[in-house]
Amino acid sequence: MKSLAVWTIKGGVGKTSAAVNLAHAAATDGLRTLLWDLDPQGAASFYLRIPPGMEGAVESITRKRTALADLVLPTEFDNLTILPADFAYRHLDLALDATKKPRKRFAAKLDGLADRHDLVILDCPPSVSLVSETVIKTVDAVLIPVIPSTLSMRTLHQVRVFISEQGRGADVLPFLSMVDLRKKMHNELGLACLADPAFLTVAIPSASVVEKMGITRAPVAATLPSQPAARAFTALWREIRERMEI
Amino acid sequence: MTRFLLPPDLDESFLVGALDPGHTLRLGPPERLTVTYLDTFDWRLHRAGLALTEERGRRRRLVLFQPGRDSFVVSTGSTPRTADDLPQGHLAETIGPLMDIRALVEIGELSVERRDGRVENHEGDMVARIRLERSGARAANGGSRSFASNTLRSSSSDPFNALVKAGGVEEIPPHDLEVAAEAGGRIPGGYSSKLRIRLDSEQTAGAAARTILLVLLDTVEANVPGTIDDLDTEFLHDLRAACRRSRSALTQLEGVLPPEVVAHFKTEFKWLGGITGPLRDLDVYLLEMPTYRSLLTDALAGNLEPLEKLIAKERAIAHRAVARALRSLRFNRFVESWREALENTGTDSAPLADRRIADLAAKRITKAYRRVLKRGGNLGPEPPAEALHRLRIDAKKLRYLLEFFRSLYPKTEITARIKELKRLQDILGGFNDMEVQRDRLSGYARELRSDRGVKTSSILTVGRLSGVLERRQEDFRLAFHDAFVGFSGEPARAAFGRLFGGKGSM
Ligand SMILES: Nc1ncnc2c1ncn2[C@@H]1O[C@H](COP(=O)(O)OP(=O)(O)O)[C@@H](O)[C@H]1O
Ligand SMILES: [Mg+2]
Repeated sequence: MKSLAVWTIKGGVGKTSAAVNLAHAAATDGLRTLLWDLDPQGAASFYLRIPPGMEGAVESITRKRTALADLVLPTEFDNLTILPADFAYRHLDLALDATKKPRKRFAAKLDGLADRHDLVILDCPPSVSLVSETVIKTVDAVLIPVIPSTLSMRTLHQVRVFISEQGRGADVLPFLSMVDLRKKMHNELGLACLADPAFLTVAIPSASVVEKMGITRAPVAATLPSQPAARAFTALWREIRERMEI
Repeated sequence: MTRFLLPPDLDESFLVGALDPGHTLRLGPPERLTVTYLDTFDWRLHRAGLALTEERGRRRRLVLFQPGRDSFVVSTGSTPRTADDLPQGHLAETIGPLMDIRALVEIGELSVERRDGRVENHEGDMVARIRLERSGARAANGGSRSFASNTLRSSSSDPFNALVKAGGVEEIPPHDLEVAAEAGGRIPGGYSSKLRIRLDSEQTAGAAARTILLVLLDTVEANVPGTIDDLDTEFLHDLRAACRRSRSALTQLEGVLPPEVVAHFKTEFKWLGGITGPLRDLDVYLLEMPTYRSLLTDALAGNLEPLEKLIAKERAIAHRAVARALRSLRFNRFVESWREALENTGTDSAPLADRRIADLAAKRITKAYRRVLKRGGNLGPEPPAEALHRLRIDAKKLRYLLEFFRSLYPKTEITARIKELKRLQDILGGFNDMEVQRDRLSGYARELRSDRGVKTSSILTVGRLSGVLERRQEDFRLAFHDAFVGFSGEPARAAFGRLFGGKGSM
């Protein structure tokens, strides 16, 4: 089983949209995929029509004996399951802090999911916290959405510093998110980004079908598979798959 | 997903009415599919509690059903035949090792009309993922529609509590393998490469012999189509094994069947064995190729390609010959008249036909056992190939007898004896395989040498391989002594004596 966290310190940059659409693409591709909605706001769960709230959500992560796998729910899609968000996740930081060796515990919890899943995608809240620190120290790769703007570039730099400070060589996979090619700056900065060999080469366009996921409550490819944005997510997934050697 | 059988006349509008209050049914458009159930001919997936289907509708997909888990779905471009054809990932990891060298064959086909959807609560959250299906199958003989069902799958039975309570629906297994198999004229688990013969100790020897030989004939016939169509190499393997066993039974049960019957059909079995032998040898070669490659360094392994090509070419020719033989008048007359002879019980005019089978079995087994002990006991620590070959044949005869009469003895006891014998046979068989393969290899080397297009390095590699096989053969020879001591030691002899009588003198 491989694990991929979608994370950056900024909100509203397309993390959740990417997590949901990539998880759907991976499942379609024949991987038993689990989407773990770690953001207490539960946007990823909402997009898949899964109501948030699970009895014992936090304990299932911090306590040794409670099985995380018991909280996994089916979604409307083949091979795709979800660990929905819970509002109590907002206290996850404190709970992890009170846990002995939180990283080790978290890693053991992820391991417990391995016999039934090929891939776990974690949709993380946009914060620098013990939660994100723990996740980053555990997963195989961190996917980072970057909107082509000068500010985002600085953010990416900070994120990379933060990840390298964690001292574990999780792959860093930045990609261009919400790209609007009509904007000159997007074009220029986008090109500059792609010169960086770490960047994934597939960019996700800014598209109304992605915005409308709030209404359709489904991955783009499930409702409008031939839309450019749907194709872009599939292509991005394939590139990630190759980079992560899945 | 829980699956319910709905009354045949139940449609969506009824379901909507049956939903618990506050729930809405959302259904996608209907889709027509052909669903083909796949398994190996000997039901390896079914035996492991699995079922595999190929769905052809808007997309072409493989679906794996595993007990206690959600079904796994993966797209496919074509129907997989061998384990290598399976799309990488969970499916290949789960069923590849089970299939091993066996191919997937069609078990049966259903036509399905499907609607996917969900049940929502008033906030639009998904309460359950559902699938409605109407399935139908035609009888194997192409007759009229022999099966139709109306089913509901749901990730949760909660929204249908009222319906379930009202008793209108019944929970059923997640797939329709039984039905598909019936449509395809197969019985799940109905074929196994293992010999399954049920005898009764009080039976006459004549009746028992017929039972044994009929089971073997069924095996021969069951494997004919797969051999002709060349689905995988195990069809021929099983066919030949049944043929050898039949011949052995005819010889070893001498006096039980009329002598003229025995004489005639022994000739026919010999013919069948002979005509199929070359193809089997070539199969063994191709199956061993990966091992051969692994025995050589990477650089040398590449040189085996011309050999592989040569064998593949010869194999194609050999297969055509086998297919022709299995379609021939001679073969068809042979199996037909053999069945007739076995089913026609009135004409037993053989001296031992009326003996009690339990007595005769013990006697014949003891005799075969003594022969193995005697021949093996005469061999020194480094026995010559010829002597090991003869011992191998004797051991095989004993093995066949033990397997024919297995059902007459306590299970754990007879299984233990067979296991002891098998350990010895593995060594004798391994030794012999090396001998046969080296022999053929030198033949191939000659053929390759006469082909100008083949590089000297390839011929030298074949020579090198021959050397590797020789060393392996030597290992088998050296292992023989210990294995035989284990087989013929006092505890093993005593156990044998207890089971088959024959006193302590053995
Ligand atoms: N490719 C895109 N094109 C247009 N809108 C997008 C795209 N990706 C995300 N959005 C919108 O931007 C907002 C934030 O996206 P989201 O995926 O929730 O980001 P995050 O998880 O980083 O906060 C949402 O309203 C979403 O619909
Ligand atoms: Mg988010």
